[in-house]
Amino acid sequence: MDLIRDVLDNQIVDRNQRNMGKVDGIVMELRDREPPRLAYIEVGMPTLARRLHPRLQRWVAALQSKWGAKHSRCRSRSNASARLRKMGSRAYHWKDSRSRVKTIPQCLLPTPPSGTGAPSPYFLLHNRGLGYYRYWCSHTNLMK
Amino acid sequence: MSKILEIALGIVTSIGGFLDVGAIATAAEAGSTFGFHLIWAILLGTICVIFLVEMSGRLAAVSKHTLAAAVRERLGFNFFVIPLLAEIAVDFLVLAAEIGGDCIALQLITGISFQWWALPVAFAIWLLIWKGNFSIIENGVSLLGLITLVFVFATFKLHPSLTELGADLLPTLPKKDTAHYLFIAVSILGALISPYLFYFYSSGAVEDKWDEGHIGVNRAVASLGMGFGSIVSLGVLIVSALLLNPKGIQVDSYEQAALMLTQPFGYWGFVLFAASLGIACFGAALEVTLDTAYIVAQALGWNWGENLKQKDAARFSLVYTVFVFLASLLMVFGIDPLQLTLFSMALTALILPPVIVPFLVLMNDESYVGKHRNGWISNSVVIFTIALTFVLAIVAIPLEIIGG
Repeated sequence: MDLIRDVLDNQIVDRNQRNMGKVDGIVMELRDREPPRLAYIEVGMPTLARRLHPRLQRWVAALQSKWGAKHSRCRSRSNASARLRKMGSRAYHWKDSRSRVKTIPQCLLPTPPSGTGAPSPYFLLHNRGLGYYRYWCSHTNLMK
Repeated sequence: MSKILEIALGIVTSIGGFLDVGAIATAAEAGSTFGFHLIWAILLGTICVIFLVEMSGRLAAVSKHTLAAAVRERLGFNFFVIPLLAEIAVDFLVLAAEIGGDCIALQLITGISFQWWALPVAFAIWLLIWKGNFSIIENGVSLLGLITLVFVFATFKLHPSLTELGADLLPTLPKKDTAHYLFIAVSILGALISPYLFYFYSSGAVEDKWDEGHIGVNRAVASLGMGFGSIVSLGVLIVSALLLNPKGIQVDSYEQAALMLTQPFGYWGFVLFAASLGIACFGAALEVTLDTAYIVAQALGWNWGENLKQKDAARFSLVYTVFVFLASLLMVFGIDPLQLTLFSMALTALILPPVIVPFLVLMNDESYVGKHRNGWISNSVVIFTIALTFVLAIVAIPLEIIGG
């Protein structure tokens, strides 16, 4: 499955088929000597803003913390069961095995893996992050 | 039988809903200033819009995706943010212009200045969207819009020369006032190839739960409905050219445009013009308001739908509520509705390329439209329209300054 093509920007619905938002960002977990795995999907305006420019994310996050929904409400929402609408794709199987979307981090800004330092345990996979993903996979011989 | 009724209703509502403030203003100004010389612009715009509307309906019927959702999903948010923001900005101005058209219609009938009508009109639009459902907005108001056929009746009554009409089917540049001529041509194309039509039409198809069985209905409604609808627009241009152009009256305001029906219909012509303007603008205002809420909700993955209760689509309802009242403020501040209309139509031409380019990708992607992909004719039309809209986008602002 191509995460960028099949998951990113796709609709998320709850168990009653109500729209919950789009997959605005994807967070991959990097593990020693193991393939990376999908850790989180991100939903929300700060994530979208980050995809345009990191400074925009800070502005949107500041606005949201001041005027946005209260934290407790967000948490209950993010714990809701969600699945991707791509029926029949491997994304759906992923839902079966993992069952629930865990908490959606608001401001997860990891350092992308580089050739010099130890890689961050998480990194973001979106249009720009795909390069990092491919770089990291080829660098660590874990492409498959 | 139900499919035939569906096609008939779709065609009738397309005719009734074809005219909006942009089509009336640009066609009236084109006819009064340049006679029949801009008929080609209406025909060209109609051909482009028929193909694009058909494609947005086909996309929705086969993929169950609205155009906005499909563009974001297929091309990513970083691309989609461009047409999204551009469309919201243009919708804002177009909605203000449509509200302005309604206010002018009420001013023509009551004599009370249009500014006083802005908030009541905005409230009426909001109330109908809040209380009504998609069928009322799609069919009810568009059926009332059949009153705009009065321009076609006036055309028949005035017996225009078919030879003269035929001579202007191909574009020709006038000897003087070329910049203004091109500006009006750009505005006509901007008014006809309205991006909100594509987003609204595909959202409507999803609201109506279209499936692959509706592809024939979609094709008939898009081609016949839009085709016959453009005859109304041609009627405005021809009547304006026959009655206002010989007297040297240029449409600088809607009050002057209202004169065009007084010769064939007397006093009732004035009333019919006001009613046509009011109903056409009211229907278009409903569509533009809903369209904005649709694209915002679909872009961000919210619950949306005119048939849903407000509590089930709260953010969707909030968007159209705020939007319609903000747009009405432009009229409250007294901005000239006709100038705003011509400006927003030219601006529409500016944003067309990022709206139309995705058609080429989506309508050839089997994962969205399966075996119903575009053929070479549809692709050629899209490529031609993209090239045309790029030219329009480049010349729109300079022409706005020189000839607007």
